[in-house]
Amino acid sequence: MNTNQSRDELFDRHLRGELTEVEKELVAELLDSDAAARQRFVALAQWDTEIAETIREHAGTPHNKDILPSGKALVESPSAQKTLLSQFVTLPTVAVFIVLLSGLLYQQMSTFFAPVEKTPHSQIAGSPIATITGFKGSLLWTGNQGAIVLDMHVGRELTGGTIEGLAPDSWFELQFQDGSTATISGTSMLTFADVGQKKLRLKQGAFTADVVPQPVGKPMIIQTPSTVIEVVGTRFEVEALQAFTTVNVREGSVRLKHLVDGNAVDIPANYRVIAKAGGDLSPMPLPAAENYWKSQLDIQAGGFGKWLPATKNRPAAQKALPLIPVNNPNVSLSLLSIPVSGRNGPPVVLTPNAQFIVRGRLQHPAKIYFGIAMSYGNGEFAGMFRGDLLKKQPISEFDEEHGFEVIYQLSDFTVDPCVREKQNGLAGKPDGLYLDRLWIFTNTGSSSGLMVHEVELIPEKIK
Amino acid sequence: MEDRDNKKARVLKAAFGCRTELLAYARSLLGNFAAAEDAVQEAMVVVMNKYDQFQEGTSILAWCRSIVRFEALRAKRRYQKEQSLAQQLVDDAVDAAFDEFQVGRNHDETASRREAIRHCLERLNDRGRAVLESRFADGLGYKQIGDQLGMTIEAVRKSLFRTKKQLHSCVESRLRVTS
Repeated sequence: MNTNQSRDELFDRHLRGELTEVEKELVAELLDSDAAARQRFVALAQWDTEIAETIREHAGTPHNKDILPSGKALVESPSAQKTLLSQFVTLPTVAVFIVLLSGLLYQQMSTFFAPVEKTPHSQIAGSPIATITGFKGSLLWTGNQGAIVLDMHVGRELTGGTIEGLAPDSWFELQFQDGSTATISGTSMLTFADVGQKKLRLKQGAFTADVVPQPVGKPMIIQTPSTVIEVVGTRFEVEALQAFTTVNVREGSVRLKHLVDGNAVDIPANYRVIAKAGGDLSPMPLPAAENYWKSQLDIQAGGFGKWLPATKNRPAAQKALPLIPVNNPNVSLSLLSIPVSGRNGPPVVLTPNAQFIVRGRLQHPAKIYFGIAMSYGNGEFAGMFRGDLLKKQPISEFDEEHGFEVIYQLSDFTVDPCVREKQNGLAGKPDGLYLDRLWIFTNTGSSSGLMVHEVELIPEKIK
Repeated sequence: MEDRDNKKARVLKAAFGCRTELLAYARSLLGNFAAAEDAVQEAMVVVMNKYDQFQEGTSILAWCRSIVRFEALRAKRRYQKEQSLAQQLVDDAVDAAFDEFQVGRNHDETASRREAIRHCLERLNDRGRAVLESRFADGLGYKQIGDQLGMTIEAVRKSLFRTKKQLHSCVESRLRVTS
């Protein structure tokens, strides 16, 4: 083939997501350096799309808005379907509180936009193993055959698959056929299956579960990027973030296996293990809860948003990213979140007169909203709350660097709209509960340039 | 009120008229037809709700493209937590290329081209059409097409190139004749 043919073939494969990283760089270089190549690329993309549309119309390709064909990587990745050959003994049926801070995903889903696989609806249906019992916010459900399901509603039956929370205020509750329930909240990704034994894989984020006694020899298995946990029947919370795994056990005990070296450990009540590569798995007593907390963005990245290291002119910051809720495409938020409890530090409990001080920058005057996610002492998800600045909004007073400081009083917090209709079992107010994470956003329809340098929790009002 | 309704109708009609161009752009960013269709569909919802922000007299295609870009990035964020540097570079280059060279077609022109493609597709030989359909409708790779049609990868590659070229020539001739 001559050079032009090779170039066209490269462009053709680019349109189908078939390029390697090296080939992508080559395409970028070609386009950057050669106007004729840019013109050819646009013409070819246009021509290719005209042919594709015509052929697809001719072939009668179904355009089903509810079930869209998607790539295979999400549900067919080896790690996601790996059989868990755990040899753990079973665990006592008591409530435990587990917080896991874990490493990055084993596999980026970089091949998600792979060539479309035609999936007949009949194959997707399968036998339902769970039912949606509650959901709010931006969520994406991907069924076992890689079908993305946009039509989420309470009562919908699901086969195994992956549920993904796309925003810090996302919320999803699922009930298995045996009555066990699982809830994810925040930016999370949970894959689950039940073929006689429940197997869950928390790739990222947080979920809680209330598990009825499981069949003998078939405990629920929860896998995170770096650990495996077995549960016979209990109530617990799991949170997977980055780099390492922390397990806090409040009651009963849990057996944790570290995937890197195969070591396993039983963690008794009120003990913690921080599992990281080459680290010690010895359980340590849980630190007592504290009422004061301050973010440490200079040494600790994580959460939702773009982390910016400190510069001469500004401290390290979490910058808000644009987010359009799946169920409300007319809304465009600038949003960031910061995790709180469950890391190396002690758990954080809110007092009735607590207040949050937020320091950051904002390019334009805007209303700044503040949300928190809470859990009970046993780790069960307790709810989400929205802070209010009452009449002090929008924030329009800045220093010369566009910096701002605002204070949210806990007494002004109300139940977050996204869980307001699902209040059974959830707390009506946040004081006395454990703070899991917080998020801050603007809703201006365009980027507000929101970034936060620091969030500080003060137990009492500043006089 | 009537002015607003009229503007809405004008903007929507113009935006839907650019659908193929927007799909081409979305495919260039997403590398997947179904995902691109999704992004364009989401973008159209945004257009429907934000039509009053469009400044008449400016390019509807450029305005819609900026919305599609946002939707495409949102889709990418959903599935690819972090984009590689190469992906970011190619996305920026693609964006610049479309800004520079993409032009919209009017309705009649689009309709004529579509009719010409349909006409010419029917004139392809069975093997060529099968290869093309496998690639464009089923989204198969060279190897999968080869396995399905009993061809080597190289034969698939050559057949695709020849068939597309043949189709292109046929469409251009047809358009010349009909015009």
